Amino acid sequence: MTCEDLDRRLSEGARAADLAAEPAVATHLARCPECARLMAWLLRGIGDVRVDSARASEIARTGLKPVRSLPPARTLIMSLAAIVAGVAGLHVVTMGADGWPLLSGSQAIVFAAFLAVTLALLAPAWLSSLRPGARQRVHPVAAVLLLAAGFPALAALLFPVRLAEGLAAEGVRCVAGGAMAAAMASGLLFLVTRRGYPLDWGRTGALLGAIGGLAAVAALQVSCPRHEAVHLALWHGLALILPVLAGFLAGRRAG
Amino acid sequence: MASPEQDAVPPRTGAAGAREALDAELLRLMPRYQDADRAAADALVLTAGPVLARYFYSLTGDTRLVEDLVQECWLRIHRARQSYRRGEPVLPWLMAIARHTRVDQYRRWKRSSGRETGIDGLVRQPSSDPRPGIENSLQAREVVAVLHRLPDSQREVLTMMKTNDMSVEEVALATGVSQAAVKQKAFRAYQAIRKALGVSRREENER
Repeated sequence: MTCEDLDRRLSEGARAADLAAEPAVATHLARCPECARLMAWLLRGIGDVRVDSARASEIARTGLKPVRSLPPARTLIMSLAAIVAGVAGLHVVTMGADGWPLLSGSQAIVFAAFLAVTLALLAPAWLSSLRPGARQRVHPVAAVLLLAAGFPALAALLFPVRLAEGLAAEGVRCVAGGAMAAAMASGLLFLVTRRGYPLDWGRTGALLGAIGGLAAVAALQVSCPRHEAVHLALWHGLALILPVLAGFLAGRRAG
Repeated sequence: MASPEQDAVPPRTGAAGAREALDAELLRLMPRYQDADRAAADALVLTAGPVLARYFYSLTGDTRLVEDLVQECWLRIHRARQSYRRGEPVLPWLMAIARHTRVDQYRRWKRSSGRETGIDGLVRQPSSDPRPGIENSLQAREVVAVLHRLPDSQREVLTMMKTNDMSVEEVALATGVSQAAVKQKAFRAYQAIRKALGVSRREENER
């Protein structure tokens, strides 16, 4: 047993009292005054720090009504999927599906796989943001960054890079339509999110924006006939980035 | 066939037993609190209150601040009670809210004071506030004084592990970082405490 072993055992969660009772540790403590001092400090408690519980009870009783616990993860994921699919479907119904016949089989498969993977990362990040102390399987920032950086990169890889006429005019139409779809998806998801208690509203807002943006780019890919890398990366990319920024700013303001 | 006496798991004693009793009590009370049971709300305050107070005192060293933080924290717990999922451990949920209460309070303090200091700026020297209802022993102050020599992230991890007897997994859930990161912070904290205790000892000897 060395001093470092002792620090390692403690940092792995071993209780000081349990450790001190181990013969190997006791032998080491008898020889090492530094470890003995550390152990003595750890065994000392800070005692009771009593505060006014009457005031806290009053707070806990204020407007006390039965609340429904957060639904199970499966229900929440299904509601997220329904919102994304519903909003994207509504967008396609209203804006048409002119882009769909122009997509090659490989483009459609790779694009759909990318959106599915990013949604599979955004969904658990969103789930864990609903509950304080929830296990964070996917870092929300990583999921949002993957979507925001991966989409333009994928557009450049899958679609021809050329500058055609009407870039701005048609682009603005795409951004407006996409932003509307993203706002609708994010708004509906916000209603579900309110059932939980996000601790970091800025981050949660960005996540809601990213999921809304994902619904928007999926819908735009089907409805927009301009399958050029520049148009997709710039204008469809904006329909993705703007909701993320708007969600982040709105979330920070609200939080 | 084993007798019921042989099958029974002997109750754990000491810190481990106390933690198990706390967990069991919190697990029993939280669903009742969600069902608007007023007696459960009072019992929850009495059970979880000392845990929160110890956490805030260890981090701030200021008993006046502890009162404010505990009240603010209960306000948030009350608003967040629907986000607790029945049957899951209560302590990481509680401590995650407590942690954000303190961070937000620091942000507010920073905005109002306009000072550019780290979160350590919020930490005061352990006070000797003699107000009734707050036990602030010399021993507590000594323990907290050593904790305050650590950087904030290490102090937070160590506080949860030491004063609230939380496991590495529970601290990881409450702080939103990986278990490996918690272990690394705790390891560095123990090394820093060795140094701090050495310094304290020298200071005592010089006096």
